[in-house]
Amino acid sequence: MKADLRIFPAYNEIYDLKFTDDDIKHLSTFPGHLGWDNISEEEGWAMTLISAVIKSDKMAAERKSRRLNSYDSHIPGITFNVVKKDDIKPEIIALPKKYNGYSVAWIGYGYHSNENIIIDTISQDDLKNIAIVYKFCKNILSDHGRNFLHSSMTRTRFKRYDLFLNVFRKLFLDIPQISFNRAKNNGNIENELDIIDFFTLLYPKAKVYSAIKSQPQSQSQSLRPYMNIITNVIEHNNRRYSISAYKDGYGYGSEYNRKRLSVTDSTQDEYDYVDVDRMFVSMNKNSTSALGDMAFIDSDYQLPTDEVIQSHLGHNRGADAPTILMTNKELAMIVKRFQQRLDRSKAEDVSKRKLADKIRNKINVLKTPKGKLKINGVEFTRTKILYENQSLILSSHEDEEWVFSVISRVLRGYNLDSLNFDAILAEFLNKIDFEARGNNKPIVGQIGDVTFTVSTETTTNTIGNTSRRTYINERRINQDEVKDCIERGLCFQKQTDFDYFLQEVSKCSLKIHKYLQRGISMTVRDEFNACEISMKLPITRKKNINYLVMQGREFRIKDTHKIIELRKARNLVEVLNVFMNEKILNGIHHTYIKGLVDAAKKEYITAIDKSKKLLKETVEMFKLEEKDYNLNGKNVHGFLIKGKRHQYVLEVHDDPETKNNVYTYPDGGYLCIVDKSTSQVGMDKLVNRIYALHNDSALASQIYTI
Amino acid sequence: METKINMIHIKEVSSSGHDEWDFEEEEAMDYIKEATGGGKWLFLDGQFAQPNEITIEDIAEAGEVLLTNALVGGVS
Repeated sequence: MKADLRIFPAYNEIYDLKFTDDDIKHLSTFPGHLGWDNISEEEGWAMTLISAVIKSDKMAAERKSRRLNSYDSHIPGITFNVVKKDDIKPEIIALPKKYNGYSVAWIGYGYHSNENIIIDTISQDDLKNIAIVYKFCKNILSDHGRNFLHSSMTRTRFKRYDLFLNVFRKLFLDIPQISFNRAKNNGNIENELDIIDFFTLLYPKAKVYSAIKSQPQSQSQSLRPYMNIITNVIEHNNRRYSISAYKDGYGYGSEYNRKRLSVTDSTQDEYDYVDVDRMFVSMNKNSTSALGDMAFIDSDYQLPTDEVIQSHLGHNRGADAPTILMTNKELAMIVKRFQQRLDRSKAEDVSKRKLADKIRNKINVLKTPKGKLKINGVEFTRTKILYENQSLILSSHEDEEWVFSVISRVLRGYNLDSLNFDAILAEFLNKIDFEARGNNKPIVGQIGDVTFTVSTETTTNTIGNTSRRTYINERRINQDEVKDCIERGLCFQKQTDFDYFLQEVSKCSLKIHKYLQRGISMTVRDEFNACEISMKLPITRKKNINYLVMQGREFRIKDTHKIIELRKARNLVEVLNVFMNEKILNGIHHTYIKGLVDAAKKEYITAIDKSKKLLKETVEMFKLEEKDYNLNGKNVHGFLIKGKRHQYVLEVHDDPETKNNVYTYPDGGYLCIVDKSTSQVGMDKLVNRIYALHNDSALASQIYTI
Repeated sequence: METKINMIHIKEVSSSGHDEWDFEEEEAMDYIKEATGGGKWLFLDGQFAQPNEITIEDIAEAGEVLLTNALVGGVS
């Protein structure tokens, strides 16, 4: 992951490495110090160890994935990983002798595997050859193949390179066929010369056949989807290693977008057809066969259309299904069968179209001024949609038939069952959102009991930059939250309450509001200690400024988005990067780091436990039972709470981050209730609601939705 | 003559799950007033109470004194 050198002091602090400031300055080494300056561009695959922190048996290594002879030696984006000192990662091809001597890691498998071999004496020429073997193992072999080599050769020590190659050559003969089609990236090859170099190195007497790229067949037909063409064949010892090219649909400008390597033994049926310029179809890119799903074995064949091929092969062919060796006669037959199916399908389309016309005629009544329609409990007129006393109206809309057009969009299929209120509401909101983005005319309407006016204002500043602002009922709202705000209108019975809500969202967006309430939780990996840690970062807001609150200190957040995105962090390094970046968080010194991380961990663990304890006490006090309740046909798991005005079901989830909805019992009416304060965690939301709902009559003036 | 000091135990929903405090009676009342002024709700034995409508005795007699976070309809 991306990191930068500012993280070293943070690491020093958090792991108590006891480096002085001067030590930290000398933790970096540069390519020149490794004696690798003369390696050419072709060997640029080797990652360079740039910096390392040694702590007992572990090493935090920063490395640059750049070519060694590049002049750009100070690229800010560097990767950071933690490896054991004796478990060198495959990408780190050499370390300073001070630590390990020359160790060569070559298979390229997982982070914590021990797949390195050690060769005591390596010349510059040897390095070039090792590079060829390394590239092949890392880029071409599947996990299966690397596992095979791994189990046979790991941690072996060789005096010289040629001894290593002899052992490798013998092992390679036994490598299973499946090894050449990588499951992870389909064995994609950037340059077939790498493979030819590898086989030439391994078998100097192998026969190598290559396509003449100017031949028309090689150039044009291979560019069709699913079509493959063999461009190179290397034959040795009754085995054919073939490189085939195919198009993946994303690349431009290269003759062949993708290539892959396959191996075929002379005992296999298709062996005789594994030739340069052989065309074949491979629908399944994980196919283990050198000729994919179907190969054209006669000369002068006529390639069928893609539809014919897909129809014939279907979608359920496994990766191990044998290749269909297709003659011209069989080809003609599958084309004929396809045509017959096509004719039948056209007849079915006609009948579907007739059904669609019938439904359209039914909803056409909404184009007339007095037309009415009731489907699935939703009442439609030309200008209004009504469901359970909830109205949806767009009074300003120029399209007088907007209800008709909303229904038409929802009715994508030919089934009236899809026309329910949820789908209609979603389309209604989409329509408002789309038009608010697309034009400057106000959109006036009603949702439930409240009205809304969505308007936009576009201004251009003196340097020509245009900005667009969106308002609902004259309160400025984030454009991306227009739909959510309008939808929330269904929660309000009074216009003043809805407008107050909009005023609050105008001050602080729905998104920020959510994280202010819940804090930012994350589970990240600590590579040094090889463990997962859960953390919680509480955020507070004062005078429109957000602060991270830790250990009694408040740190001003300068980039709220970056802090919120930490919820997606997977590694402690990502968190430290953000903490140490003054453009994101103000006032954090590296000496605070250990305390902050400990506090965030403790915050999460103890807070959740304590909130559970409080909930348990609350549940016992009110004698609540957690179970499933049937609310008008909908099953909700939670507590039944008896207030003085109503009974309520409070929804309960195992995950404290999930919203705890409140419904009236037994009719299942949804009640919009939100915590005013952010100072809570875990199950506290439930506790707040249990107490409040028991006291509903005393608190109805404040929770006006109950 | 020895004066017995009654301690009031208060639980409060907070970002650390919940906090528990022990106050002398008058301190407890001050703390409750400050907390409710800052958006907390007071419940004595599960019943909502307004700080300006109760006495120190009400608090002292309550088996449970809890400060929860206030709720509001519809703002999220």
